[in-house]
Amino acid sequence: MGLDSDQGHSDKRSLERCQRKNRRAMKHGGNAYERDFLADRLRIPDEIAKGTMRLTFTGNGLAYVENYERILEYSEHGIRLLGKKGKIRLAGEKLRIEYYTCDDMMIKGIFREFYWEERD
Amino acid sequence: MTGLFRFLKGCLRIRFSGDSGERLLNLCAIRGIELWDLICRDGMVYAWIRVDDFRKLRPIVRKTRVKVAVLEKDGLPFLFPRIMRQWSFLLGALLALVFWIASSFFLWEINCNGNVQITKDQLLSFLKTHGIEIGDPIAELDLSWLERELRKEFPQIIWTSMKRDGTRLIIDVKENDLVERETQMNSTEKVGTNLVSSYDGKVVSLIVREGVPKVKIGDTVTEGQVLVEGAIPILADDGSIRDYVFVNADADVCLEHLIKYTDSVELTHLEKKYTGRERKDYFVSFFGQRLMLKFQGIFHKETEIMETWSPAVFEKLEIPIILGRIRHDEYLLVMEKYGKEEEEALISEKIMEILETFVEKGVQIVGKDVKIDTKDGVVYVYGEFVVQETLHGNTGTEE
Repeated sequence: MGLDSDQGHSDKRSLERCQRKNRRAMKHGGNAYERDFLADRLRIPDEIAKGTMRLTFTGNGLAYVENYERILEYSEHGIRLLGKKGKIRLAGEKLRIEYYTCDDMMIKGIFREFYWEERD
Repeated sequence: MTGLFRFLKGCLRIRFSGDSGERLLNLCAIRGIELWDLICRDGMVYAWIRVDDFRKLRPIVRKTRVKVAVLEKDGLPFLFPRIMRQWSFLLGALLALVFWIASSFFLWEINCNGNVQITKDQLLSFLKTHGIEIGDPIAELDLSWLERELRKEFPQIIWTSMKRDGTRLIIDVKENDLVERETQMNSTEKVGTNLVSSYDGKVVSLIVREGVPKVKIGDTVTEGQVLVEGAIPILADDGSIRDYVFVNADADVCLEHLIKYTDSVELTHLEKKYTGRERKDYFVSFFGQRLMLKFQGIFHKETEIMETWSPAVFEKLEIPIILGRIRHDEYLLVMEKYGKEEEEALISEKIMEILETFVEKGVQIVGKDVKIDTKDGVVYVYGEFVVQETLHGNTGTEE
């Protein structure tokens, strides 16, 4: 009994712990879920609703990147950019940044490969 | 547009090297510093930056510890960097602009078109008497009044137009070429004229349009003889002359007469022999005042060839400054004798000249007899031409 009562107490405590965790989760992440739900229903593009990166290629000579956060790496053979949801890496030859601002960037050169990496 | 803005502001080609190149790029983007045309080569990044942005780059460079070097400068601030700093240049440019603008308010050239009987000097003196000269303010010109005055002054002008073209006054006129003939006819209208012979000769043909013929075909006439009379008699019923109607005798009378021609050509003549020595003088003419830049060397006899050049700004503004060059070529006068061929060519040229004058007058040559004689180094040409010449109604008339 004593055991039962001890087990009962520990279950109660773990339940309370779970409830507190859920409440905390709802408090911090609940808005994000609601926002995603609304964006889906209203069919708002992800790059606007979630701020994800958008990458447009014209042939293999011109790339236009929107919604990036930072330049991680730049060399003649590759460019790595950090976005909200992940990183992209463009590999090629004679890569040249035509212009860039804090939101968008135009890159010219000969593109060979494109990688997507998850954000740490 | 962006390119023009960058050119006006001035831009720099920079190169930066270091481990934190990407950090510099990110900081530039955050702080609104514009970089373009970025190339990465051998671990170094090359980029263009505006001059004003380059000044903002200093704290970022210090923070990231990147080495920056300026490779190239482009744009308006670098185009005339030293000249723009010279106050004398700016003052000169300003004065030139002021002079140019001030000059555009004055009259610097007068062009006359369509005048044949009236010379340009007559037109210029007309303008002078009406208070218009080169250098006068162009805004004060009353062109319509001037046009009226010009038509009054010269009755032979049937149409005139004056217009301003920049700093130029253009006068277009159209003259009436019949005015002289009409005035002559009007003045003799009431009196009437006879057609008289100008030569001694024989009448070959006779066509009378107005007047009474006094000769017939085949008659021999003398100089001054009346050929067609301008007084037409009005006969009374009894055959007596009651009155005269005076007209201008109008007829075509063809007379055959003799023209004698004598000319001489000297076989020796003075000829210019150029020595090959030449001298060039330069001058600047401003408002008619000439400033000469003469060089040494005086020639006894010389020919002068003048070349002038007047600078015109935008073709509309004529500035009264003339730049010129005078070339002097030295020559000597040498007595030369014509050769046989030259002599013949000269004589035939003389004869051809007289024949051409006959053709111009509308004279028909019926017969000719030309003799050439040489005496004491002079060639004499004697010619006798039998010609048929038509006297018209208004030639050889008398009242």
